[in-house]
Amino acid sequence: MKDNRHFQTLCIFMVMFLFILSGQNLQLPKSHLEMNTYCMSCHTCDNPTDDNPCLEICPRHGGKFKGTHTVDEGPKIVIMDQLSDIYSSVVFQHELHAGMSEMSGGCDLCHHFSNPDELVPPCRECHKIKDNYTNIAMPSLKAAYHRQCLNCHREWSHETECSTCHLVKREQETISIVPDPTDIMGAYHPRIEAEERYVYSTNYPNFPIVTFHHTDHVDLFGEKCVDCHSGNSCLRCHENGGSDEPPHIENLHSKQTCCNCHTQACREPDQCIFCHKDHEMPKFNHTTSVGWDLGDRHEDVACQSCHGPLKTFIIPSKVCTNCHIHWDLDIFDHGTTGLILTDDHVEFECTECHLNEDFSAPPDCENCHDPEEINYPDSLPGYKNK
Amino acid sequence: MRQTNGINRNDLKFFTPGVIIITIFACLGIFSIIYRLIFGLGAATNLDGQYPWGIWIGIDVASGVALAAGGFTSSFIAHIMHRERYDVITRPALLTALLGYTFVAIGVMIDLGRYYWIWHPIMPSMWQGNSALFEVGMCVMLYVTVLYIEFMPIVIERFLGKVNFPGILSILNHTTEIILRIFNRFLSKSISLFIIAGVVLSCMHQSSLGTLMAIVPSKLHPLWHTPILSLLFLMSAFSVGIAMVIFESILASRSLKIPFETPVLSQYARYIPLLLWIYLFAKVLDMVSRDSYVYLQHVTLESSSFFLEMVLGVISPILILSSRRLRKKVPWLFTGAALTIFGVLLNRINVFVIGYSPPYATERYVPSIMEILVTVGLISCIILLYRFFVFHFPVHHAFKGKHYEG
Amino acid sequence: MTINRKDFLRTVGVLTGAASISTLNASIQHNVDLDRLGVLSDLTLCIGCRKCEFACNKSHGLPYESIDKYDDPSIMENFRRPTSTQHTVVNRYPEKGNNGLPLDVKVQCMHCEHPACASACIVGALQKDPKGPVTYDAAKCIGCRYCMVACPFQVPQYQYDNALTPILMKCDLCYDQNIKNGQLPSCVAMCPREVMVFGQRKDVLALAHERIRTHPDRYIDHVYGENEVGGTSWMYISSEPFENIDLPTLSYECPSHLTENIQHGIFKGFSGPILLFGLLGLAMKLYRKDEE
Repeated sequence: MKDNRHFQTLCIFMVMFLFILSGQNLQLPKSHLEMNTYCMSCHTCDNPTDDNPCLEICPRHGGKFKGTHTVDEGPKIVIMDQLSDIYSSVVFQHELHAGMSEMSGGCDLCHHFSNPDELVPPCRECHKIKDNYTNIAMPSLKAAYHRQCLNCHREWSHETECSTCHLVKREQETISIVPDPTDIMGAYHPRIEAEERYVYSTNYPNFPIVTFHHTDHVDLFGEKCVDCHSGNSCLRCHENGGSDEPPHIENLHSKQTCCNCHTQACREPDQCIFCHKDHEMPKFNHTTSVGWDLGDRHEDVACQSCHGPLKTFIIPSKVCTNCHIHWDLDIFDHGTTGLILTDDHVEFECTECHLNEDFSAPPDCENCHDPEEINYPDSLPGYKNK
Repeated sequence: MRQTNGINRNDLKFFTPGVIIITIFACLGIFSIIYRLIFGLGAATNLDGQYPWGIWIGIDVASGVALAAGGFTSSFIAHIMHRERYDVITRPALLTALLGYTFVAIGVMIDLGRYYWIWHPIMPSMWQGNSALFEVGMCVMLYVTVLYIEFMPIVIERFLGKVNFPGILSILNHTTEIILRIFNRFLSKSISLFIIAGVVLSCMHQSSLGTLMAIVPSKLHPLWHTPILSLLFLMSAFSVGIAMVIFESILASRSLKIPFETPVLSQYARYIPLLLWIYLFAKVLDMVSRDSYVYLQHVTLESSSFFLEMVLGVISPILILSSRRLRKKVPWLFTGAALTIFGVLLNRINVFVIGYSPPYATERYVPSIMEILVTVGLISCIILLYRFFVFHFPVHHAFKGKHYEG
Repeated sequence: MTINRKDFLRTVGVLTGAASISTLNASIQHNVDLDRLGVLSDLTLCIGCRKCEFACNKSHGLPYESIDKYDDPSIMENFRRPTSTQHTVVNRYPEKGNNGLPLDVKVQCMHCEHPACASACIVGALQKDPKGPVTYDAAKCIGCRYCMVACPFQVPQYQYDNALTPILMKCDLCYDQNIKNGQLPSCVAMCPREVMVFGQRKDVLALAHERIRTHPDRYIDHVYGENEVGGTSWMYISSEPFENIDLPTLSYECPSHLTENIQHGIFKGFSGPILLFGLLGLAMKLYRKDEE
């Protein structure tokens, strides 16, 4: 009898406890529902209430960065395209910037918050795109980006022009070669006509031929005239006093001119064949030279956009989502690949068909379908729009 | 002392050399007004985003209202205090007020960006009781009406029994005669109501004119900005009203070659020092209580203008007009009145133009030629019209023009 | 002086009667909504990109250039004020910011809590909306420009070059076009660094104090517009004292309070004028008896 009463009391307590627990769950403020972080990152106590929220100061100011990371753990470049409106998307050289901040403050110079033993969350995980005035304390994604970038760009390089990072969106996005006043041609020099390529024969054994593609270096790689034609005297080219005679360029034929930029190839003996070949080389072609087809999408993009400045050339990942890290179901329009997905496929996560995040490989239909009946490319999960 | 036998001045010409010069100024003013209407305020004035009000408001309107105060002060003294012996100068004062206020309205219209909507404040849907300008506008509108009604007896006196339209219009003679009679009967009974209304309306808007600039404590120089600005405006309006009556009576007597009304005028003038003493007392008390006298330590345009206003415009007329001996002499009487008027005029200009310093102005406002021409032109028009009315209506007792023939 | 004592006393009595009426005090009730909106401008974040000017002109149908033209900072060498074609401008104060950087200050209508312009307006063309913005109705405006005189910040601008239909130009907080549709004011939405935070006034004010509290090294302890002229809807926090960046030092009392007190004192049920009318009528009668 006595035991029974104990049991009853215990039951009541249990129910009440559960009720309180569930009640707490229900009482979670609406604004917290979309938060992806765990409670303890903001609240210091177990049961925060309206009266006593026991809030931790903003992670921005508390230095809540946990763990150590290296530069190459992060993406090489990040294409920020979910906000592009007046301006086109920004290609952010993540590796370059991570390398720079490693020298001064480490990852938490920008990523001021991370959960222990987890990947460093990208900005967009906390800072949301917002178009109304709900949460005024936390900057929106746009503001977070601009505050972060411009803090350094403003103090160190004094670059606050939007064009430092952005291109204004135009009808047809093209790379325009803007005259640079620091270059010879930018300084009102008449256009200098040059051969498309120069073939030099050297005395390097077995591989004497060096093909120099002048046009590629100027138009594609964005080299300035003065990068190679260095020197500050007009007489260097115009020996006979500014006539229309072609300039004298013999002294450029030195190894040193190329080695100014191709430092690695000049330094290491086994890299000589980077330039020295046994035959004339064709024009640079991203598909054949690198083995990665630029396709329609990347064809018009300037080299520096993905590879960064020539001096700190980086090789980005070939996996789409490593750069386009914002691409998920909501943002990515599959129609841009030429195939519009049917309604029943549009809801699937990308990796359900594209295994191992390899988006260039044919999709795998076997997960759901009988391979005898449905396989790629005989039957498509949509229809082509091109 | 009343002049019973009027001097017939049929031989006095309307146009004298002085009047011709004034007519030229009036024409230039009208030309400038047309220019402003066609090309806009930006082309005609030196007003800008920093100085939205210039001399058109400072002189034509604010000073105009102050100087037209003669109408209500004289009617207060003559009709409410029943000093009927002052009657001789009530009519000229009334006419000046009438013309003055009419031209204040015209001046406002020229300054308004959308002058064709000047009637907007009358509409109940747009009433704005918080605005001092609304009160000024409404009072001026009503007061102009009252002034016209007060002037009616003079028109009736001129035409009653003498209505004689030319040509075909003569059939209206009888009807007009009857209408005038009805008006005459109505007015003779109710004129005192209008006289009191006129004084009330004047007190209201003369003071509200000061309230206008009380809203800008940060822009109006502390020498002038005070919470009692409206009270000071009202008090200075009393004194300038009397001074104005004396001033123009002497001027008109000279110009129309009629005897000076000296005894009446010096009787009038004894009120001026009293009123100015009260004004000066309030002003000094206010400056001491707000410590604004510290701004007099440095010689600036504001402080020198303030000195000029107080010494020349307040203290010297007190000294001159306090003396009973000097009051009896026309030149001194005239000087005293003129200095009082100068003081109030300068006070209004100081408050609206010189003392007004907007926070981001790079250079001080200086009126453009056009603005000056319009102001001078409007004053010239008032003088011409005054002369016209004196010639054709029984305004001055002593001056009986052509209208008294037959 | 030939005024006898009786006359003198009577005159003074009448005068003081009139004077006391014109300074009668009455309390004024203001129409204040607790959900009032506000904007906080954190000047330490502004980089002077002037995109707010672009967004403002574009959304108000005012002339604007292509967006890359706004990157040119040379225009900021001159001190500028809002004009009849620009509701907002950004001024640069070199080396006034933190770390020797320039301090950029965006100026526009402050949307006072008790706006002097709206109190001054003769036809009620300028109105303080209970939600916060000071709005303008050109259909009422007669162009007297008293609002420009009254504004302590010298914000409203006038189309002086328009001869026939000039109107007043001033920031309206994009009330009709954006706020009523649940959107941010154009400049706030455009600002890349969220220099301006838009929300309920009490919230943004709390945010301002929070920022000052957490970064006492970065800000001076003053929220400009919290109390100036009785409070404004637009507020600033800055690293530099506000008088150094051309924001006028103003009293905490709203300027329209005095004039409205005077006006309401006179006009409360028209008691003042009626009283004066009666007083004068009485005087008229008294003096007449006296004459007899």
